[in-house]
Amino acid sequence: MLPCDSASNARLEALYLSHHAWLRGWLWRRLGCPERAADFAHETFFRVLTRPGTETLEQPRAFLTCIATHLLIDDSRRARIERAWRETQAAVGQVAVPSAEQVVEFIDALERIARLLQGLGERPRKALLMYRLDGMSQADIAAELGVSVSMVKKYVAQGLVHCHRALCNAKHNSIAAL
Amino acid sequence: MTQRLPDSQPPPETPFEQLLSEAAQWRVRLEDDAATDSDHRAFKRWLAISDSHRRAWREIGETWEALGGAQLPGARAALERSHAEERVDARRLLRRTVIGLAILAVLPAAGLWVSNTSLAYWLADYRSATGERRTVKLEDGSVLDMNTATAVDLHFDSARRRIALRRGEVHLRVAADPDRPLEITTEAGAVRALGTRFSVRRLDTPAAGSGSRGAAMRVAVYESHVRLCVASGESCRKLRRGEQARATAAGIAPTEAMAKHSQPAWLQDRMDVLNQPVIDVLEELARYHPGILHYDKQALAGLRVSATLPLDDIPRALDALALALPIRIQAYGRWLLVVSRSEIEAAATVP
Repeated sequence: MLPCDSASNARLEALYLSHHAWLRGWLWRRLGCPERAADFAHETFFRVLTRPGTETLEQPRAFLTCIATHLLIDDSRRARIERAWRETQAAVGQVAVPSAEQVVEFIDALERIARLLQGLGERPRKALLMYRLDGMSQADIAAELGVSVSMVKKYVAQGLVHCHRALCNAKHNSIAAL
Repeated sequence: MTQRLPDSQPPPETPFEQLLSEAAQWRVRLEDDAATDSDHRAFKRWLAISDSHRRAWREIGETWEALGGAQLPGARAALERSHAEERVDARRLLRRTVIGLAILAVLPAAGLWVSNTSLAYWLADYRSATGERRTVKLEDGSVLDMNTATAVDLHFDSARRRIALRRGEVHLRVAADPDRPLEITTEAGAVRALGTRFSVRRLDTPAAGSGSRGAAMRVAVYESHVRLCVASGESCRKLRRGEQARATAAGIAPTEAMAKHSQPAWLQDRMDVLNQPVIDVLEELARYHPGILHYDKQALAGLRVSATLPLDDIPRALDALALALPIRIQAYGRWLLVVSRSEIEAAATVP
């Protein structure tokens, strides 16, 4: 929700007017494409303006580039995941071709998972994915990773706790953005 | 005065972080096929300790759910690939900022890592998650239906087509290829076919004593015929349409006739039950439930049922059972379903 009182609206408008063109230029240099730069600038301002407390930013440009950088990282991760998945699908040659909506939904889900897994160690990540996404048995995972079943249990539990923390952080951020 | 004596103070509460870790460990322990009744009892005691324990358990359950929704073929492959690329990107960034030979030495290793997680590596396997049913069209035109919690490896070359059933159950419509017979193998034996339709299910039981499994399989033929051989190759049998048999590495049980069915009911997300013990039915339903389906075998012994149950909605299947039987279903979130004998059994007979 955008703040309703006119004083803060005026400050947000000032923020937009004094930095929007600059941010678009900053993004243009990085992306090399004016249309995408405009899209990202728009998205960045949307995030910033719908966040409480942004009327009183001390270093608005640093804050804007920080948000924009996060958006760029998310975007490239998403593109990577989507590309990887499409290539995988092309090679699998499945009977049922999912609809465009299903693909978007699925890439969304994968992206969410990738974000939750960020920073988790190599083996716990693998164990958790094999367990949760592939439904492999703990014994099979143990064999594949070359560790004991009790180690697999440890990895998966560790992964769950890690993702729980990531999920909590994400929730706090989205609550703050409301 | 409300001054408290030191010994009347409640014990210090376990930090929530620690409870989360414990809850995660419980989740993993109870998900394991090897979880025992005493595990479940110990878990119930743990859960009963405090509201914080229950909250930790619920939150870990939510995290578990948050990691779902992507059990599609290729999901893990896509995540692993993009993750590997992200690492390589990070290294490229590093190379740009740091000049030195040491960094160059890292790059071949990074390349190796990527090729290990390449497409071919991950595509060797097809897997379905618990509660999921998948259909995969194979390169030779055969169609592989995978039931819940199933994993297969494919070994196709110019001379043969071999499918290793690692876990679960498959139904296969084999594309005819006289030069390349198709074989489905488990540790118990192999089924060989030219062009036909049949299903294979692993029926492994934990072998007594040793850590290895007691491998067993059941083969059912819906079209034409197949040849079933035990792993040692010592005994083989031809199974025709409408026949099924169970095999272990030691031998093949007598052939049985199937009820009139042109395909397994699970292909239509359905289970047909004809006067079976309810504990057998629950055991079967549990295969399709991604969480825990808990039931007291002793209390439910002797109850029998006939029904057609949905396999894509286990809570609904249980509700259908509860309509026909003196049982009670309790759901603790979506993951933990507890079936118990209803205490008001007599009420059913009172008009």
